[in-house]
Amino acid sequence: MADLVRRHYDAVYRFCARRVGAEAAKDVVQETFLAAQAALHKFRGDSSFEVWLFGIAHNQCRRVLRRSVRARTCSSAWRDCPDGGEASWIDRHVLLEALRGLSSEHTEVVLLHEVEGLTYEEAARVLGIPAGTVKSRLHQAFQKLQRALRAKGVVR
Amino acid sequence: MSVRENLKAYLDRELSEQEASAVRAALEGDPSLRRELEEMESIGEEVRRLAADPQPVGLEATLENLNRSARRGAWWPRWAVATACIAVVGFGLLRLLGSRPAGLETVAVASKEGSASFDAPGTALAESVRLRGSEGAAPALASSDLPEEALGARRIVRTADIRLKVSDAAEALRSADNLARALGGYVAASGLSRPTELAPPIGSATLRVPTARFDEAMARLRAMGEVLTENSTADDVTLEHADVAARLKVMRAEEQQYVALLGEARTIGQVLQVRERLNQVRQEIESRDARRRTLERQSALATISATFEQRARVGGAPTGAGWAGEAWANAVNGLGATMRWLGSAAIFVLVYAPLWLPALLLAAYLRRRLM
Repeated sequence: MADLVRRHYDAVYRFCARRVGAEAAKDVVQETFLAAQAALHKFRGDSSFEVWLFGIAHNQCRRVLRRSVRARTCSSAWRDCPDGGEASWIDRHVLLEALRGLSSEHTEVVLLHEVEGLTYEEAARVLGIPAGTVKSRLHQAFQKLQRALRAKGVVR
Repeated sequence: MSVRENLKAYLDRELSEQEASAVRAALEGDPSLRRELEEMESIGEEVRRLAADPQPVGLEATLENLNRSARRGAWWPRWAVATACIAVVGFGLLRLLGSRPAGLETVAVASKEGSASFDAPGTALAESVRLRGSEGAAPALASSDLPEEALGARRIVRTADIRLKVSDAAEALRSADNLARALGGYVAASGLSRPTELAPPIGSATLRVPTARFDEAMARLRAMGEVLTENSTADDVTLEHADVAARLKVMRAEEQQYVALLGEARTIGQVLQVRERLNQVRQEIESRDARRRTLERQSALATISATFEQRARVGGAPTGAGWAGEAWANAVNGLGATMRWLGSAAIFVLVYAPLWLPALLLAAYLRRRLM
């Protein structure tokens, strides 16, 4: 189990920290691995081990967010302020604002697919929803982002 | 789904080949769609750049906690098993010290053990009494190895089925009710039915009588008519009852230990683990307690299912029981039933005349006009 933890700790930590914040993430990750250790016999290999862990972590995060009085969206998902980086024709401040305005359902799929790099099928497994729903939510999320950027005139 | 709705999935290579070629074709002919695709791609890149990149901390603490949890996982079931073993041995010693050392009576149910069958004139009458070992009791725990007091009172679950031919089924049911009351029991269920309109009524009753008076009850039932079939069983559940009671005691002790352990739990993981075990033990206690109560209830009162079949009879039929008499009675009853059915049909036809008579007259009138 220690090897598995070492191999997947960083990914699971980032997954949790983007959802519940760095402070709460330490406990949530610990609970995730404890739950995974107890349920290891239930892992049937239908998906990758990391996707299975993300599924457990997702439930743990939801539990913490339910208890939390703070906003129930993934408030720690995005950087506080955009760094310089390459020159882009997209105004990152506007995009950041639009990303923060997304609902938790839309933020979840954007994080899982765009940031964690999961396929639609894998994201669906983590969230416990059909892959078609992931597809439509992702489409809606990008439409919203596009609309927000257009409204500010930062997209051609 | 429209092409536009599939644009994001196309970008992510999540479309089937057929859907992807539809999007490709649309992109070739629609510059605004191409622009939208490029925008989406750029937004995707920017989203990845804007994602928070928290630096992982706490790996060592997590590993340590997992180790501790694994050790505890290996330790406390052993501790629970040891406690349970001590409790079992202690309980057994206490019971043995308090009981008689010798003069053990082995389990046997009188001389009715075995089976017997014989034919009564005209009907097959079979009686079988068998003694079964209690299910679920430890196989090594032979009844002759345990003192009587260790087992508690002997517990036998007796059940019987008896089918009798009587002159009056309703009267027989009343007699069965009186019989059960007289013996200190009761009738749990009774009913009178007629399989077909022609057949004589059949009464059935389930009697619950004290096990000690089971034989007396059977003898008095047999005297009520002509016995057609009779079956009885005697199940010795003494061992199972003793086993269930002993296990219950051990599990209650185990439950107390888990409750104490719950108070000492420090992390959520520990609380959850102990609570899970506690719930399992409590469920086990409930189910065994229910089984114990069932065994006590079943062994206190014997269950007799009696069926009373009434002989066919009719006024004026030749007297003297026999096949010809019954056939005569059935035939006369059948004729009566058929006549009653025809009479009912005629009444229905008459009552519904306001509906069918005008329709018939109208049909006759139209037929005359058209022909």
